[in-house]
Amino acid sequence: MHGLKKLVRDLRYSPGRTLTIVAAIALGMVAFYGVLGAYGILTREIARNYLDSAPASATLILDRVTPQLLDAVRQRPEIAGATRRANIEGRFRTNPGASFRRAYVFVVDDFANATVAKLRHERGEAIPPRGSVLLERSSVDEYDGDLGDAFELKVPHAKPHRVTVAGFVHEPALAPAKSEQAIYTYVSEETARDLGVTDFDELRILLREHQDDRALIEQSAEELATWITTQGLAKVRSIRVPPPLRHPHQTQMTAVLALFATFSGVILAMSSFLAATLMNTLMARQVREIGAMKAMGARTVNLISLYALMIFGLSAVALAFAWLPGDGVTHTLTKSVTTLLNFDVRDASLPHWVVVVDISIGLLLPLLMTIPRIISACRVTVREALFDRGLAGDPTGTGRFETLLSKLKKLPAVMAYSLRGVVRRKRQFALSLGLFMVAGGGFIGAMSIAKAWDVLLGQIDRTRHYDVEVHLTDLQDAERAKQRVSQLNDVRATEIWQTVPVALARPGRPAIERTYPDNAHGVFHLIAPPHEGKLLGVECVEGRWLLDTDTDGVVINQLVPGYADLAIGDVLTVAVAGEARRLTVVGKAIQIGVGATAYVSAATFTRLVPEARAEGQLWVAAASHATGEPSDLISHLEHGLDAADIDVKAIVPVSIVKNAMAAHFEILVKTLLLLAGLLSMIGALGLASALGVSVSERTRELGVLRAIGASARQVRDSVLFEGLGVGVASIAGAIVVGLGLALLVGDVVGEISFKVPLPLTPSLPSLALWVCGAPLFAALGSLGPARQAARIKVRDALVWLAILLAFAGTLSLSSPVVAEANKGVLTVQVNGFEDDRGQVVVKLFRREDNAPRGAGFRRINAAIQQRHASVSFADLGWGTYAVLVFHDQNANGTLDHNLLGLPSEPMGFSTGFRPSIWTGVPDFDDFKFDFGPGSNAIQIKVE
Amino acid sequence: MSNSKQLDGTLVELRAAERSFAAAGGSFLALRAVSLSLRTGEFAAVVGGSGSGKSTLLNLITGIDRATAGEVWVADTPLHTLTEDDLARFRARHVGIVFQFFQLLPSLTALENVILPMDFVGVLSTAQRRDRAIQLLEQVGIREQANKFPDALSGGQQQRVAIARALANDPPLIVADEPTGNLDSHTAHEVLMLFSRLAREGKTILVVTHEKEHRSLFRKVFELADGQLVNAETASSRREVSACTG
Repeated sequence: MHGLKKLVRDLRYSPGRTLTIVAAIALGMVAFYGVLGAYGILTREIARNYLDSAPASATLILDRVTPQLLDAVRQRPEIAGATRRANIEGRFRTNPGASFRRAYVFVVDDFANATVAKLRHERGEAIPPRGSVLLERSSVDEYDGDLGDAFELKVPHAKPHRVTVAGFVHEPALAPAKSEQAIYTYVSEETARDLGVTDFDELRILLREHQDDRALIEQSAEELATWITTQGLAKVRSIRVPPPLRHPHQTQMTAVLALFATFSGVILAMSSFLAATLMNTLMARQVREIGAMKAMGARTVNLISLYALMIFGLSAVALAFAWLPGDGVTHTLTKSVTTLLNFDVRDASLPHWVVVVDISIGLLLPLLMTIPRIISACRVTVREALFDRGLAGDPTGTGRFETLLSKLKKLPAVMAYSLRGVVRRKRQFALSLGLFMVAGGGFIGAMSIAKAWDVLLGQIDRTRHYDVEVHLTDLQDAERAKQRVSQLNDVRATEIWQTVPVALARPGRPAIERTYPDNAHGVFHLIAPPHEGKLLGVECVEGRWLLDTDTDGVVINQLVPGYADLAIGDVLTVAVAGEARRLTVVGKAIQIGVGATAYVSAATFTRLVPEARAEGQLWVAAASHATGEPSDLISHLEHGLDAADIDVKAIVPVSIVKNAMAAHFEILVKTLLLLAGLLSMIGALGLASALGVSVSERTRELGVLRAIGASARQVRDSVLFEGLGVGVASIAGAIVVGLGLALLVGDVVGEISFKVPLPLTPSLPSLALWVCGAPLFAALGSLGPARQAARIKVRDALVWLAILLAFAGTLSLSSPVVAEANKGVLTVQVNGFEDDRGQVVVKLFRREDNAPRGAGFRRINAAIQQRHASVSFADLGWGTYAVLVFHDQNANGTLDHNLLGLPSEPMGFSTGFRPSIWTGVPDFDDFKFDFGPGSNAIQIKVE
Repeated sequence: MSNSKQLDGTLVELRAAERSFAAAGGSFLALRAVSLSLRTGEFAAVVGGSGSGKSTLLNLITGIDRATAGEVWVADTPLHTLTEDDLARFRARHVGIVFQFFQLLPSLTALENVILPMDFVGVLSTAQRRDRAIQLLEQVGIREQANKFPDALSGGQQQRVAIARALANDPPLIVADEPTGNLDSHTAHEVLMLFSRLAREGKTILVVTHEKEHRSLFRKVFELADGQLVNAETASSRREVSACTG
């Protein structure tokens, strides 16, 4: 109990470090909890929303679905439910003088008792009376109407009809109305008839079993289609089987969230590593107290438990601090995604597995990273602990970098000192650098991905030289419409493009489309350009574009099923109106903002597609191209075509595609930037702590600097310069990490969005910002330690040194007097030399000095006389030490090694330890000895 | 210090200087009313047992610490009135310090360690600082070790670098705290001879030592006990005593 009290007080004694530990863990947790929480909730809720609507396993498009057919289908044993629908692309306007806009009209057979494709009623009427509609709730973004409001609704081949809004429903499988720039209306059979829709043509079925098995669904749908045909109940035009039980956006959303979760996991790991490093410094200061507790009877296991409990407690505090902000991130991310994808969070609670993972990782990760240090600290003997000096001694830092710096003759010594200070603690330097690199990488990566997305979307503008698509009701009206539209002043060019939905043909079996019931997701079109069509530029990555002379040539884009496996010259067999048609691939293209499309020449199209099934689109280029929605042009087209009595299904601006995609992407970039921001904060914390530790370790050195004339400002600037050094050093790494991240995320995002990786497009502004931002963050992180360094007083620094050399615990900090008791002179006599050339180097180590590789606690170089040498370490405190000597034959100050990395100069160890291939490189324990009264000389033989 | 003192060659003067510290049992007086003076070019030692106040005295003279009573004048400057930064600037120009454990910065080469104080003052150009540092290393006899890191130097060599560093800004006063405490007797003698030569060249040298065998080298010896100056002998007085007893 009192042990815990002691630890709590220790933590309170260093509030800065304790807060930094908690803040580091908490920041990592905020990112991890936030993203993992959103992942857990969204993946659960999107599935729940979608499955609650009982989505159809398959949809059969028939010429007509009669009540008798529906009843007969419902009687079949494999069918759990069936319903009929019609889905018409129509238009609406708020009053007779206004322009028409897009409206989808869904004719629903049974509002009250639907067992398939159920609508979730939100308000108003649940069943729209005759002459009224239900609106899908997201339609309010496109039509600001409420219950009782009226507007004109028009379907092809019919006059506009005035309807009122009777209620609102939610259909989670639909994309938000805003992204389609349309409204979704639901009408009864009577209202549909009034509007001009005569028949239901969709038969939606829900299978009783195997709802998640696409092959079995396809087989059942096929068998049903065959049965309907053979029974003469209807003609089957096509079969649609979308991916079973999966929302149209589920795969993409899950992939992106999984990516975020991975990224945030990395953040948590790095923040925990930072916390562990800070804990290590705390443990380094605890060693002496561990000795004291052991002297009082504490066992190693007691102490390990005690310190583990302390880490556990700190993690728990961090967990508590992180929970609410993490919840905020979860809530914000969840809200953004659900709004984007039009589904509800019906249960905002975290899934149990998320809570378990959050708590387990949050509590265990810092502990796992710290436990090795705790164990090693708690295993020291009482004697070793009482002589412990706390933090490691002076790292000499005489590596390659330092040697390189010494060759820069014009570099002021102060700057050389700062730069070497940066790398003297290599692990801390690597940690700070790593945190900064990943933070900068996250920022640069996010911005580069955004830029790549823009570049890719730019293809829409680059290749589509038109502004508006007019979807004609009748292909026969196309020429007349073209002439009429061409007369408009604000029209530069028009072309007629023909299109028809198709599916991949399957030999001997009916084709199956992957189209979702919204008629948009998963759709595959065959499109024919006009003779010398110029309004669409298709960039072929393989093969060529179409020629007028092509009779069966086809150019496919990357979304066409089987694209990767199809080579130029291969045969692509598509089902057009139920008939298999063979086409030869002449070109392959990458297209953005277009669904799966196969392009054939007009002649081929006419040969393959029955006239009744062909749809005509009039593509219109405005006289003056504008980036926004060309509302004036649309209005003129509307009135012009109306005046010519030409019926249109829809007038769609090209900008709609870009708008929808930009909205999809916004969340991705914002989330990446948020995570990069958190990383930057952790990076600054890491740097602050690393420099703080570095300043503490160098108290003596900084005191010496002050003693030989450095002002407080010069000392402060020297530490600031070190921080800046880390910031600047991180820039190149951040760029590499950022571009790597952009490549990786761009691959995932591009693949799930366009089936093509995003191009690697470095964002120059982000690079420039990070070049400025990294030193700024580094400077911010260094301010505290720099001020700490500037406050060091020479006397205190030198007294500190004296105390380190004195016997543990015999002096108080306020005393300027250093006791000289409990110290002595250690004499090391060395023999076994082959000759007297060069010098002998004697290195004295304490446990923390990384024996035998480190520079050692103290070192003496001495001459060899008559193959014998003797050196003395004066003023040496009683304690446990280890001594390494080597015959520095070439007097270069270092132990030389041969090509195999083995020492090439004779050496020897205290206690007579002899290394061999069996012992490997020794550690401190292998050649340690106790130095105290009566044991003041040792002999070592070099060999 | 008055101008007359400056004119008569006095470089260091303590007037009833005291230094007390707060301790658990009340105030602890580490230095009691010490008055002494040193003239330009004198080679002096401070001797005394552990806890006698030697280091505290040095701290006051170097401006590392401030007297709690009395006055400390060095090179015509009242140190007891200066701020920490003023003291740093003062040390940079007027005092060179040599520590017992050398206190070289391990991450800088011998040459860079010597350049460092000149960087702080910033009077000389980069090239001039380098030239002067090389010249100083030459002067202390380790020119060929200039580009080695302290780790690769012997104790005697490190102490020579420390002395060269102390001379970097050409200060009139060099203060050394047990400069031979960590050296073998041969090297220790060499180092003290080097100080002696510097004193002959006009530097004022004040050395804290507890090694009596070198006493004859110093022109003045101040002996401290319990924070009090109990004896101040000069070479001439020593000679007189020696003659009397001899």
